[in-house]
Amino acid sequence: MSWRWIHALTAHLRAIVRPARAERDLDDEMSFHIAMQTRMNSEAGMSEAEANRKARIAFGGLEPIKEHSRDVRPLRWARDLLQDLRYAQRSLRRAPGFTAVAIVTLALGIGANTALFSVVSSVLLRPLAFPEPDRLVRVWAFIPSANVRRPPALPDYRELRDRNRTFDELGAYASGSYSATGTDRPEFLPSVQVTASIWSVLKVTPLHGQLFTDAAQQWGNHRVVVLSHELWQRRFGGDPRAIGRVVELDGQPFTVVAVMPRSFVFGAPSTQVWTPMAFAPGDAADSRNTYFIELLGRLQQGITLPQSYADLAIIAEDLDQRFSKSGVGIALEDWQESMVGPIRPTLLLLLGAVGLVLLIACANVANLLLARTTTREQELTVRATLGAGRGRLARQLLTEHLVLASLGAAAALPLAYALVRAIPLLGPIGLPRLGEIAVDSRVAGFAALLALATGVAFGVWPARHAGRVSVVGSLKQTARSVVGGRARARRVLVTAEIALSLVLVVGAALLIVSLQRVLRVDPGFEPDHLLTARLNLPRAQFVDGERTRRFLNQVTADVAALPGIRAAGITTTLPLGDGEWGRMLTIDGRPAPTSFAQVPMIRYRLVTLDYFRAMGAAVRRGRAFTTDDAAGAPLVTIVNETMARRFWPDDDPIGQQISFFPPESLLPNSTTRFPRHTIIGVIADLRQSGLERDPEAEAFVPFAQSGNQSGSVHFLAARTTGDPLAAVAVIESTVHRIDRNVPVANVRSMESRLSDSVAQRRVVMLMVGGFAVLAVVIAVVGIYGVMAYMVGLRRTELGVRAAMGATAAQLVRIVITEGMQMTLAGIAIGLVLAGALSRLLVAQLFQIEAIDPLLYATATTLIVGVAGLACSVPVYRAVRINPATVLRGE
Amino acid sequence: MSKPPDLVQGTLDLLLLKILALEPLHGWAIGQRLRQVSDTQLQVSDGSLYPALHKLELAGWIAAEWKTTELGRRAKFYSLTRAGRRRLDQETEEWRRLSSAITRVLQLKEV
Repeated sequence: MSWRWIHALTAHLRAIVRPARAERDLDDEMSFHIAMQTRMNSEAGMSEAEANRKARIAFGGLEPIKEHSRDVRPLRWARDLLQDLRYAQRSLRRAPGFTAVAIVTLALGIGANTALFSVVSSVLLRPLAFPEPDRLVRVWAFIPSANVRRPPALPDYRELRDRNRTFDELGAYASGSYSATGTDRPEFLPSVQVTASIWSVLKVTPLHGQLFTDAAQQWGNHRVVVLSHELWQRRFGGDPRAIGRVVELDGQPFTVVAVMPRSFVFGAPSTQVWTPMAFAPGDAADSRNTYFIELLGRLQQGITLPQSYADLAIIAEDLDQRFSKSGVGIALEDWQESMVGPIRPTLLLLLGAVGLVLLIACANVANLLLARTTTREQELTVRATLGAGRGRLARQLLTEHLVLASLGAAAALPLAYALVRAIPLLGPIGLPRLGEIAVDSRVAGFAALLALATGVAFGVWPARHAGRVSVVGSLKQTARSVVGGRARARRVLVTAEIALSLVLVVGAALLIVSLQRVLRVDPGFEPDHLLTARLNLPRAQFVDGERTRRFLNQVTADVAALPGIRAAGITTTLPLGDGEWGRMLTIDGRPAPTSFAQVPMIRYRLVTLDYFRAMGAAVRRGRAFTTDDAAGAPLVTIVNETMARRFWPDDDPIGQQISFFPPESLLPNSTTRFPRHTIIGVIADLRQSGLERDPEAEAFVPFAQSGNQSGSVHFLAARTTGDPLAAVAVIESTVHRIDRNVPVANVRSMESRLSDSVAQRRVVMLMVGGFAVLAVVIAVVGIYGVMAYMVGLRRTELGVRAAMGATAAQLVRIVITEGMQMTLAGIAIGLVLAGALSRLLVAQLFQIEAIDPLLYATATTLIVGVAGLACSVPVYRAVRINPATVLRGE
Repeated sequence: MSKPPDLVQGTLDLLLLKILALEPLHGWAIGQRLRQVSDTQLQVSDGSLYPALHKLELAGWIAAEWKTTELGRRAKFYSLTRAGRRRLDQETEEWRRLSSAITRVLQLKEV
């Protein structure tokens, strides 16, 4: 260590630790210099005053030299920053109106962006809340000919689990429900049946108790249950001694073995219980022809998806060779991707739309800043004269803008938080991982980044202008000529605002029209005055078709007899409900397919006789079911229009014989002849899976002729004379009186189901619509600001024109031309942009093209209209200019 | 505002070190001395002088001390540190080599 470092260090320390002292030293040193020079000058014979003046001139600008000296001092940037922050605070306070408008504009822009980003961050970016979630993989059976995935069969799952070499563990699960019985009122409990291996796949541990093992999958040992945190709180008050207690599910005693932590979500978020996947010997569910389970596996360390695919594909091929011979393969997908993949384009679309709003907000704040820079010309010139370099001035303004942006971001965070909290209020929008959405540190970081980016985005232009302040120039020139360049910049910004607003208005209009057209789709039934409910029949109790039928007939008869009920029916699949059944179709008199893969699949529903009447569905041809279509009578079926069109495009489906099984020729060793149903009618297409989805081929069979088939999920549809919800209580008590173990769940009017089915579309539409409104409002403020400013600048000119005899109409034309130039340029750019960007919307559109001339024309008219409105006040002012005042004033 | 033009890059530092090697001086005197010895050929604007002095001080080549002058006013006197002297030797050597090289180039005969 040489002496030099010690000298250097002390010098630095002095400057850093005692900055005020350093300043004073600098002053003293400079004034000493002037004093010496003055003395020398007066010794040369000058007068005292002259000597001092000459000394000062010789020295040059005192302040600029001090600035240069300060430049070499350490931590110059930090001191500058502090100083800039002080200036910023002072100058923002001096203009509270401007500051408030800028902060509110930015807070709206940044807040909306931050809220949407927290959704994107939590749903798309954040890994799932399980250990090493990137190793979790979904597995399906894959039918290459139709390019669809389907659930694997349970026996196939067992082979995949035993024979694979790439998974640590492979588990299976299936969603279902139980009726919690044994209490006053049966409760509907959404459930998931899981293999014990699922627990090792997920690597989860319970809050209390122990998760069941493979042994629980043996029929007879299967009556154990894992409770959700919520159910445990509700039924056992959070008592750890709940472990070992018995709850009655579907009339059977289940022992509570474990309680999961509050954060645990597996299956639907409303899932209350997890039970072992176990079936009685001979249960049809455990066969190679029943597909209902979902597979989830944990890859071994270091194994990739393609490696695992290669491994499973060999097993799948072997299974196909041995059993179905129809070319069924295997499909794998990352679990998180399979969950969030479908929603990704929608979220990114919204993020893009809200990004445009922020751009417009930035343009507007830049606009305000430019206007302010003009009025601050004087201040900046003084600073430049006192030695502030061009870069220094720009830096000071930039600091001010960043402070503004930071304040905007600070106000945006609570807004974002409130918006995120409001997401669940939007309704059933089908957003996965809803419970995980939160404003976290990543989101806060995003907001900070946005603040920085926006500060730079709206601040750089005005700061560059400030950097060009020329001392001589601004002393010489009048304010008006300096202002010319700014006016151009402001016009460009407003043009950009109009263009971007038009893009958003077009996007919103496309979505609004799409929603309207979706809602105009004929659902095939009358949704008003229709009450629907889900009836879950406990399997253990309703063991055969006969018991089920007795119960269903009783319910429809008793409900239909209630006052205020016009008709009641029950089905296995309600439109916009769930409970899909698929069946094979064989048509007599047609050449039989040669492989299983070629056998057509259709939708199959069981209904009570009055179901169509209750739904208000029209029989298009033939007849509806009657009491004659009873158990012993010839088997009948009614098909929907789509099925009639698809299989009998040229002939009459009525009277045709069909079976819901594969052709017997495909089962060489079997002598069974499957039952045939005669088609007796064609019913209107009921939009089962939503208004936007094309109807599928469906066949309806009366419960009376359904033999021994029974499922647990049924839906009641009751047509009411008055408000459907008024009938809820009587229907519940009627069902309860018939069987106290059947919960009446999900009681809703059909209209609310319809409304929920378009909830996601409606929310996307409302959000983009909201962004568009915000954008237009901001742009209107921008247009107004620039126009008012122009009229102010051209006051004299307009006054002179008026004095020379220009009519009001001529003055209006002058001003309007100015405003319309910006508007039309913005519209031209906006239309091109909208045409390009609306392609991204295609997936969201329904029965409208991305480029629809009429819609674009309407959006353009709207923008021209509001722009005209924004111009009207400045125009009014222009006309009211009193020539005499103007001429006197100048 | 742009800074006043410097002498050849780095030469101002060399001159300041040399002048201070003779005796400790305050800023004004340094400027005067520079003018005298160079026969007014070298004029350093005050706008360059003070920042340069402050830079050398912060680098540890020179040290500053507040002293009272013969006229009874406090002034900031600069003096060479030991490291500054070594630096001066190096820079002088460097300058000699550079200027003799330049001289040799300039002595080339035109054909």
